[in-house]
Amino acid sequence: MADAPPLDADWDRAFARQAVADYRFWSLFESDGELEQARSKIALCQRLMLLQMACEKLCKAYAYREGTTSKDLQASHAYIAKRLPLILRQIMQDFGHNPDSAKFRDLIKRQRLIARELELLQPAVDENGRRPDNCEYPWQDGTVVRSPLDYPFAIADLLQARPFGPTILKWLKTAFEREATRLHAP
Amino acid sequence: MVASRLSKDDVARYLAQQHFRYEPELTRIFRVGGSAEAEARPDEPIKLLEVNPITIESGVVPVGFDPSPASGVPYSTVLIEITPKEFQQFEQGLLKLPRGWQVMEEIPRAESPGSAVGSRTNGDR
Repeated sequence: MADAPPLDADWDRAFARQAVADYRFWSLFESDGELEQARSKIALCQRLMLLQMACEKLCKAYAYREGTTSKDLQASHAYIAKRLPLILRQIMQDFGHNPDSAKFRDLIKRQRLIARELELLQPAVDENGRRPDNCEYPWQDGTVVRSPLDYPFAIADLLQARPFGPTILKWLKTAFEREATRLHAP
Repeated sequence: MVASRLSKDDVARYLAQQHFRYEPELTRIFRVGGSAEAEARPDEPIKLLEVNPITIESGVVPVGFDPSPASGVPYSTVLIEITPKEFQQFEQGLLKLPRGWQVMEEIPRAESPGSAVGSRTNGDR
């Protein structure tokens, strides 16, 4: 008898574990992280790459939970922009935020923009060549070659800019903490 | 809201109204259903198709959520978000839902926020 393939639940769990580990790695260098003092020695593109990888795996874990096939998921990196906003909106809803508040509606719009920018950090996602900037590989920009090491990624400002950035980071943290809790649930 | 007494239909309407309120840009929300046998099972998720002009065009990307009784959603849910252009493709049969799911009834936007079942908020927290 042939061996049975892994279940979607196995993939879900594996992606969730990896997502939480990536997120914790990213968090080490953030303002309240244990290695915050080492932050200046690590390039922005590399820190953003950790966050992008964490979010991609989080979105893939949710996809396996829903039952999307393994083949579809493993072939694509373009999962953050559509999934992450729904995940964060759900968290907002679970926290009972006032849906009629203009402030939170603006937050939802901003987190969609951040999710798209996070997705574009992946070299394989470039909006048909319009956005070659990514956090891993150099790219051609007219007559010059740009390196991610020198590039001022707009998402870094979006994540820090008040009033939205810190709140969205807090929702992200909640999303990963939920995954961690879920992984330890019986 | 006493979540355990609400049917899937009630919760689907509640969720849809919440989403309309969070994202006024949403133009339409539809209930999605599988086979009658599947839909009769309590663990079959509530599935909503949402048409949103500010999402990106990347096809049918279902996102699954666990039940969240504390926020009035005692059933698991699946959300599928598409743009108006993708919805046109869907109507033309160029875009399909997975696993034989079909679009069922449209859930219209409630005229006033208070008409949503079981509203619960924490203000501008």
